[in-house]
Amino acid sequence: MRIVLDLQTCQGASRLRGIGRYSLCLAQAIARRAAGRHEVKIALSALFPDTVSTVRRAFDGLAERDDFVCFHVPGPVAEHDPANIWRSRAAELIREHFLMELAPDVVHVFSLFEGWADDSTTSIGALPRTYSASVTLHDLIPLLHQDTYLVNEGQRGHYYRKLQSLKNADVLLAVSESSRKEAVSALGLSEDVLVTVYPSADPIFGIRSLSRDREAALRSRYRITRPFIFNVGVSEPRKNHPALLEAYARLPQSLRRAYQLVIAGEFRPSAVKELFLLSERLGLSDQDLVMTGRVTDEDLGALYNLCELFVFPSLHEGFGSPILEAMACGAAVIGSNTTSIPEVIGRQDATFDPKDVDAMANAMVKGLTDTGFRNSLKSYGPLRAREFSWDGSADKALDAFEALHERRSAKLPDRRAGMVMTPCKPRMAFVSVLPPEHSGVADYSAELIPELVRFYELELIVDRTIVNDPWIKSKFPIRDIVWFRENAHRFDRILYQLGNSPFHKHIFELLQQFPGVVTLHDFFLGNVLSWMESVQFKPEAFRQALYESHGYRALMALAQEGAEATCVRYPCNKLVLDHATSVIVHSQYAVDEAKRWYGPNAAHTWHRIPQIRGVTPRAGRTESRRCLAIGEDSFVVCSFGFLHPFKLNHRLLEAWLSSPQARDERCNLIFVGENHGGPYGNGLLERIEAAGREDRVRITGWVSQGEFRMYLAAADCAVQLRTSSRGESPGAVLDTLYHGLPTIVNANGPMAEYPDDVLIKLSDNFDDAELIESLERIRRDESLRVRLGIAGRGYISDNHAPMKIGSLYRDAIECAATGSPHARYKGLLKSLTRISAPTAPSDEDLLAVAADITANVPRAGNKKLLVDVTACRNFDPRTGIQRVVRALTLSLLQNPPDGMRVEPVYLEAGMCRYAIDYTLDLLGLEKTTIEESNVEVRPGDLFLGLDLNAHGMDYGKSLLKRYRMQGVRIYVVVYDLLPLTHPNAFPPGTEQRFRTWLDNILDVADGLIGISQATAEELVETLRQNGTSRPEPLEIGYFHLGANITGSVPTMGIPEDAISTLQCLQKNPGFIMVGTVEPRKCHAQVFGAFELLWADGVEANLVVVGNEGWMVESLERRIRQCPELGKRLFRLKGISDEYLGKLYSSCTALIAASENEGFGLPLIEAAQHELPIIARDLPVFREVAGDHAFYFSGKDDAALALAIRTWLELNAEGRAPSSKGLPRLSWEQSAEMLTRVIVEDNWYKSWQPPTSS
Amino acid sequence: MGYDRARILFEELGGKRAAKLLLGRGAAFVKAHPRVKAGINRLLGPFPILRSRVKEVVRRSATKVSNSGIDRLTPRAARIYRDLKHEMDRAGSREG
Repeated sequence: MRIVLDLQTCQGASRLRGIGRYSLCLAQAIARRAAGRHEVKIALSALFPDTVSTVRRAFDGLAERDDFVCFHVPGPVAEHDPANIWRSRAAELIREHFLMELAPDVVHVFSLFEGWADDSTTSIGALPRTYSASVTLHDLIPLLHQDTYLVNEGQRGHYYRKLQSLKNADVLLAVSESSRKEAVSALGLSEDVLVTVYPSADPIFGIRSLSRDREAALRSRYRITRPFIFNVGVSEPRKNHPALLEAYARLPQSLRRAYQLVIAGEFRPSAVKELFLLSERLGLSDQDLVMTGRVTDEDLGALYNLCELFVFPSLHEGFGSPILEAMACGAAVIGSNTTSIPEVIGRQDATFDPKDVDAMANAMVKGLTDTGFRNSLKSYGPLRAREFSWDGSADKALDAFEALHERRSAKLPDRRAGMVMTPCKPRMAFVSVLPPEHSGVADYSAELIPELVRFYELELIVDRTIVNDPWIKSKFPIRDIVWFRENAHRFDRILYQLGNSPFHKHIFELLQQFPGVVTLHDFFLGNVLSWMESVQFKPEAFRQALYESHGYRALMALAQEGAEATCVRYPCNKLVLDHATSVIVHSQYAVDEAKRWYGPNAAHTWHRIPQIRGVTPRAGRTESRRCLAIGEDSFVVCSFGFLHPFKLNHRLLEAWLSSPQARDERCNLIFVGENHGGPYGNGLLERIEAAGREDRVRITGWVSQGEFRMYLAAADCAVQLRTSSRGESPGAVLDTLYHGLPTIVNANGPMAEYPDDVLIKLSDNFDDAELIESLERIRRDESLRVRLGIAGRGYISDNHAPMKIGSLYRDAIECAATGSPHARYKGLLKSLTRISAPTAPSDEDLLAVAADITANVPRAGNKKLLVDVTACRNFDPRTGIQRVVRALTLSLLQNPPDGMRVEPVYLEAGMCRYAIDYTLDLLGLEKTTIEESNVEVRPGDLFLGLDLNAHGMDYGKSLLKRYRMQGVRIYVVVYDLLPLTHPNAFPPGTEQRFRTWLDNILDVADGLIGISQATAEELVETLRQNGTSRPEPLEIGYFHLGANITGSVPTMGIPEDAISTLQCLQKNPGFIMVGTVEPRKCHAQVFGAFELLWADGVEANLVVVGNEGWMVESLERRIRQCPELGKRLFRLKGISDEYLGKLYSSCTALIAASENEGFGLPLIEAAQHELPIIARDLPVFREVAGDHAFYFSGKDDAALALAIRTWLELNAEGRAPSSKGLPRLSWEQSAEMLTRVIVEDNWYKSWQPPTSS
Repeated sequence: MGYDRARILFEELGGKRAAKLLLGRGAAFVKAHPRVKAGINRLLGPFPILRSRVKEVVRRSATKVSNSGIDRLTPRAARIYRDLKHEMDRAGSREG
């Protein structure tokens, strides 16, 4: 059973009240107790975005992230403002539509009476539903005290609407017997629909010993100077606070001097003032009454523990949670004898009449002075509190849900139960190809039409209006496509028959405009789409379908393998499936294919209806043989249908030629169908001729329907083989079975689904011996032929009989019309138009409604990995980060994670769009006209912030938060934390900008991924030191970068002066530095060291490669003025990757002098060229290079000069560390490492927010 | 749009590099914001122009992006919006 718990009471205004506490505790207990038995989902409103994380955290260990679902509705909806009424009603409809699409068995709402002052959305019965609805009934106090609570007309209307919703519920969980009885008497509800499910005390309330200091601090905080009588409540008349104050005033003076009266709870200032005025009138002193205001749960528990007496004089309660909380804390509790309070207290001697002030005062005197009585109350309280438990309540609620579910299941035996046929036949547009077109779908349609007539008024929509079937012509209006476009709205039902041939070219566009039920005769539709593109019927039809259905991988395949191979490999049918209101297929194979290509839910609304057979009369065997000149004693094997390599006709021919039948003059092999027009067909003819069997092996060519039936009647055995099935329906097998012909098939595609006893089924990859043996068995065993013939006919009669198929069609079409997601969507739209509200919706409201409906009902399909390439796409600044982005994006596109689709995207103006042009450029593919539309996400999608996109994150934060509420996980790659760790190495303002970016990603991300373990560690340390307001844990991971330059789409080009530079480098040892010239990279130190070395006569070259960065103007000046420039010093800017490769090869060592790095890609690149590495001794360099580098320390020029000298000596002796074995990844491996982190949750650490640590 | 783009470039790349990109003669969107251009000129003076890069930036900047209305919706949401408008118009409910 799928149970959905609507927990808005933990989000809206009620979250801070008893209702919020009750909802959370009961929901937690339900999740705990239902584990392993039922699926529990928790529905939250996206109108309270800041509360989602908090609620999720409250279910740590009880529910997974995917168990939370957020619904989106247009806000604001608080009904106290009449301007919100339309949105409020629309929100109710949209929420109920959202709940329906979750396909729950039971939905439980923890309080219906919400949404007056906040943006909660509650209703039951705004739309037709198929689930059971359950509601917690807390009380009916406003209804029973209308003069107090429903004075405002608007509020009264709101309350009555909610009452109506309440009556629509299937079961009410009353919080007490008292509430249950009130519902029966005040609302006239049947006792059957009411179940008492008591709350319990929150486990945070219990007997606690307080330290002296803590008690003193508490008393001081609330100005409690004496032992005290305690009460908790809010400023409502029913809480009876004036009577409590009067009763306190009537206590003997000695008691009043001994005890203060402490009232905790959030009171309106006017109510506080009134109570103090009353206190004054009653002659009480300033010290006697203490109003604490709102207190924390911790303080509340302490006050319960410390009080001498807890008094609860309320006039009306639904339950009275404070009573139970106080009892759980071991307080002596007395309370009213009205409504639910006696049920909770459970002792008559501890109750009093709340309207009798003297009685109340007397009870208080007894509670304070009768030690025995007070002690008995104190010891009784915890025992009594234990009688109430959340788990017990959850079990009771679950029992109620299960009973409901059983009742509903009994009422609705299957999904067709909700289906209602109208008294007159619905009008149906039947869109198909019809005879005389040479198409299997045309013949199929001609057979199906007579069966549909039983249920529908049919009009036939055809591309060519030439129809040669006299019965069809005389019975039905035949319309063309143009007419249909103008008149489609007149039809109640639309049924499309779609196959993979050009006959169906017009259906794609029609389906988008006029959604209907689609019979999908072929699962793969590439051929028709490719044809449409090639003849310019619809430009880019194939490419668009490939992209929409399968993404860039399919477009790459098209470029590499051509259209024909791509048609065979990819179904290209996603757009059809998305627009169809329901899909009818003939085989389980097609259903399985849908799941394989588009995920497990792709076919959940589909219908599998076997092909129709049995309309055409069977021909007589003797007469047929006579007409076909086949002898009575001949044994004839036939294969029916067009000849094609995929039909394995050559395999049958070879097997037959190798079988004893080839040597027997009475045996014949006949291929009944048109021969393949190409080399394949010629090859078959040549083989027959070469075997000298032209007399007994024939290919008939195309035959008429009559002749076809004669062969079916004349044959002794049929062989129908297949390979590379694309899900098309094997009609010829049905013909052979219908004619009682013993049939041999191989288990390929849908043919594997036939039962074993109706035909002989070879394995999919059969060998010739298997086929020969089967041919011979059928020939030898007449009883087998008879048995298979009878079984085949029986199978067709049971499963493919026209009447049965017609009825199945009716069921499927009506189910789509009334119970499909599309039907529900249409119902929602209609309901939205019928909303009656004082103000009409604005255009913004309608836009919001559209966006919210889309967000609430995700489309089926593979999960997406959205890769943010904003900076690269907008203005590739060509820094190292963009090189990484290009390389990883490319690798991810070429090798997407299993079951995921990789989509590069960019953030712009608060929207996220598909970066199609950029990606096609990156992949070197031809441009298309496919629109770079806004991204639609679904639960389970991943957003990977791969690019360093500070502004995109600023603008896109709210969008990413929305995505997150839709179940998308947000991960961001962190290249380094250098602007924080080395702020002085960056221009002013960089640190602040970086901090803002970090705050933003901490606000929206589920996980951060460093490009090295060192970066991940730095991240953890930064979070520990700086803290964050983030309430949720944060995953921290890392991966390593790749190094193969070709994988990063390298830039090319060698400048003219490169040759002389490279020649100079050959003369002396050359040391190369690679990276933007900026203070952190310590170019100044290296330059200084080389000046010392040159001064000492050391012959060495220094090559500085990299653009001029920031804060290095003086260094650049020094370099420009250096006399060694162009001799032993080379400064190269903006060079291509190709030139850089040559420099690596020409130099002697790489110097990596940076003070810190995120990763240190040049080290890897140097190792690729087997270039030795001289690196500063940093953790990240140790992580990357290990023992394969020479490390130096010290920040002065001399220290480095000495290190270089030492290295030169070691190198001369052949003892310098070699970079040869340095472990390095390709970009493909780097992408795999990254996807292991984000897809397989291979995280390094999980950062916990301080409160939970 | 032009100002926004220039600002992004400045903050992403730092002043000099952004200016190198923006000072291309084809950068029409920068010309539309003389203050930005003047500021860049004051800061840098003439720099070699990476023409093709600038053209690409301009081309991308020229992509019209609306901040409101149906352009903000996904294609499916846009279809729903049109369906809803159509239904509303048919029902005449928006008039009252």
